[in-house]
Amino acid sequence: MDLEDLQKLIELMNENDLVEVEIEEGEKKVRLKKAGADQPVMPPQAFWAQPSPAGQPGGGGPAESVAASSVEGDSVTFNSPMVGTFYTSPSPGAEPFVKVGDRVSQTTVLCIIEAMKVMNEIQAEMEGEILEVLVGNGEAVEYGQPLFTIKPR
Amino acid sequence: MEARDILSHLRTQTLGRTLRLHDEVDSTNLRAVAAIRTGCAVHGEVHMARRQTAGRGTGERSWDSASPDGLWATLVLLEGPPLPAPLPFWPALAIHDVLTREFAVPARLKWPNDVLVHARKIAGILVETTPTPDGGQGYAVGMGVNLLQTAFEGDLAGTATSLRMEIGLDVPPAAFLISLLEALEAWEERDLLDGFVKASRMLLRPLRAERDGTWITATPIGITKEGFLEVEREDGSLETWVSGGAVRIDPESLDQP
Repeated sequence: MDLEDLQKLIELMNENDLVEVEIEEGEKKVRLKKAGADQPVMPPQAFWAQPSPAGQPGGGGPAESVAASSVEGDSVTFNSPMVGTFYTSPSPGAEPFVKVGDRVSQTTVLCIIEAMKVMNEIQAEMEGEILEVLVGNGEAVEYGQPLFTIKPR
Repeated sequence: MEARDILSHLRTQTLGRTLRLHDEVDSTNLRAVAAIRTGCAVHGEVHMARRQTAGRGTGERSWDSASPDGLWATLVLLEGPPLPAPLPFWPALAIHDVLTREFAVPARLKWPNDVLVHARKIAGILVETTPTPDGGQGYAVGMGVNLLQTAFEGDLAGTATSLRMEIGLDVPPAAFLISLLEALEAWEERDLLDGFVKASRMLLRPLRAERDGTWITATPIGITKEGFLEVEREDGSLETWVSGGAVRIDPESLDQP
């Protein structure tokens, strides 16, 4: 076996994902080992099957926005749980989800934030009154950016 | 085709095992969102309609689905990825696979989730999230695939196509749905980012896009783990595109040399 043979062998190993090759030319013996052959086989997992934060079933995502709120005097700012485009109403020309002075509850939808064309409904997750809407319809928002001020009840 | 006919052919584990077939609805996404909100939905259920009277796309774009010529269906997910995640790539890749593998149609993806054939749109996706009554998050994955149309009129004439127009065969919506659900389930276990890079062929090729009302030229140079597109502008500046609503990529610009 010369250098050229060795190079060819290395190429073959790369092409076929081999990690080990054993060759004996006398009685002809070949032993090949593929990458990952010793690894235990993992059951297939859905791409979203990652543990949800804080042991919350179905957690993650927009539902956690309350953690992103900050207190200022007797009002709190409701901060964006994600990056995207902010929409005040369900469709163009429709009434906004909430206006200044509206009473909201935990499940009131405040706005939609769109990222990658996914429309995420964002819920208030607290009871209170809308004091200010801080972002205009269609504006880009960053993670943690204040969206509303709310006076909690 | 009735639900039991579809189910007897369907080889999925979870997706589409509950089928809700409607003759005519406002939109299958609205039905799915309502079912999620009221706690009536099960994971993997599919709402399918022959006709939609209020089919929707992103923003103000309407989706022509008044005719029974396409597959109009919404898949409900009650377990989903924490967003943002490349969720919209999932249905797009599944549709892409059915078109390319079963019908040999040269489909490609356009960020974030359009399916194009020769720069014309054959399928569109609208994903919406809404809370479940128990405080979780539900996803309505709306999919529209043009199948039986022989022509499009008005604005759509130069921008839309159908499977019939591409291959001259009539594929019934129920048959396409069966293949699509199986492809969706196969993609649950695969790398969506890698899939998107291959099926879009967008990286390192200049494109034109309308962004904040002006047309720009940019070259996608990477994709983030959330599926956001990293692009380099003509002046060398870098930016990350997050919103599919704020950026509109010209499909005609995708295959320019």
